[in-house]
Amino acid sequence: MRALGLNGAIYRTPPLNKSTLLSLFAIAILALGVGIGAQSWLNPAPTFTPKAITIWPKAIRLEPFTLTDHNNQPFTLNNLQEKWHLFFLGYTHCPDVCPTTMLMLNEVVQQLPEEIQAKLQIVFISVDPSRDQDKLKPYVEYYNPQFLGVTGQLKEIYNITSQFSLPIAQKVSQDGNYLMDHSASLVLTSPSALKVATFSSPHYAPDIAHDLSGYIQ
Amino acid sequence: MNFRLVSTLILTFITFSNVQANDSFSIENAWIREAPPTISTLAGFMTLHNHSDQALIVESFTSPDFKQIELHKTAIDNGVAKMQKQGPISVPANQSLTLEPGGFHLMLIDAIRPLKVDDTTLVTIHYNGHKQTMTFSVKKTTGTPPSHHHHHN
Repeated sequence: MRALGLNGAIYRTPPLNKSTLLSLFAIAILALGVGIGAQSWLNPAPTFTPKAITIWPKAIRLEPFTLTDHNNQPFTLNNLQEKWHLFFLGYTHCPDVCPTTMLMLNEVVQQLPEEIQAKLQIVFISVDPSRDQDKLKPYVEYYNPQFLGVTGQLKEIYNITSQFSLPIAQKVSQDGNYLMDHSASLVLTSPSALKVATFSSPHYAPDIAHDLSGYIQ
Repeated sequence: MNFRLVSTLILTFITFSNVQANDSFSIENAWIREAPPTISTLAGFMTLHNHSDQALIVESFTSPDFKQIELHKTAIDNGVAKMQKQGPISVPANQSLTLEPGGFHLMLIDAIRPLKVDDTTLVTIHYNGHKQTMTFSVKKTTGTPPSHHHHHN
């Protein structure tokens, strides 16, 4: 048995403050919960010179999760089969980082050879289901009609984001509004539903397209 | 009524190319990023040049097209994207402040009408007890020029 998420193979240790510690603790508990029975495989070494991608030394099999896509269809572990998936976390009330990343992801797709495009699905996970449920479809399709938006119950969002080792946290302001802090990294899964690689920010579309073209077979 | 206030009131606003100026500051490249349909939280960007000999205290922003405008700063902290609300901000004499994607930006909350590419909207900057209205144009772009990035071999 191997623990997932924060105990995974690659994690840069940040300086911790109290609130970070608390959220890490919460995520660690969740990670333990989903980590039971997790398995991993040695990832093949890249045959190209990586510019942006961090390939996990061991690919990690994901545990079941239940989300819903922007067409109200279930989005589960089974949906990860057959295609590569590149995930990004965000929320529609995020005016800066999320639009920048979505526009960047569209640039990535435009720069990929057609045969690679056909093998790759870009997925936007909304970490703000209560406000985003009905906005997902117009939101993701605006950036690219092929993009998929998914969201779900908060515990299922934590389920998948902790398996991806992507932290999220809600920050409530005095006026009752809230912002979501969310990882700016991208996670790549293989057609065998294995978590294989991460792209850390800042993101530069040509570098990501270069690495995806080299890595996706 | 002091000279500065009078001059602010009587100076005709100069708008040429993408620079808008009054006697104490100018703004350049003021734009708002178009949002997807149904999305009413947008971001605005500009470069603010204080060409006066006193600090420019930017207190707040208002617009007839948005219920509320806040100044925010994006920070990527250990890989986590965080938006940090800013209070009044001071631009020192003869210095500039750039609002750009991934850094300082205006968080434009609850758009009252849809804003599409090439639309314009008016944003009033409240500063040093005065106010000045500026024109922002709507664009669809990452806003991140390639020169911002380190080029790899």
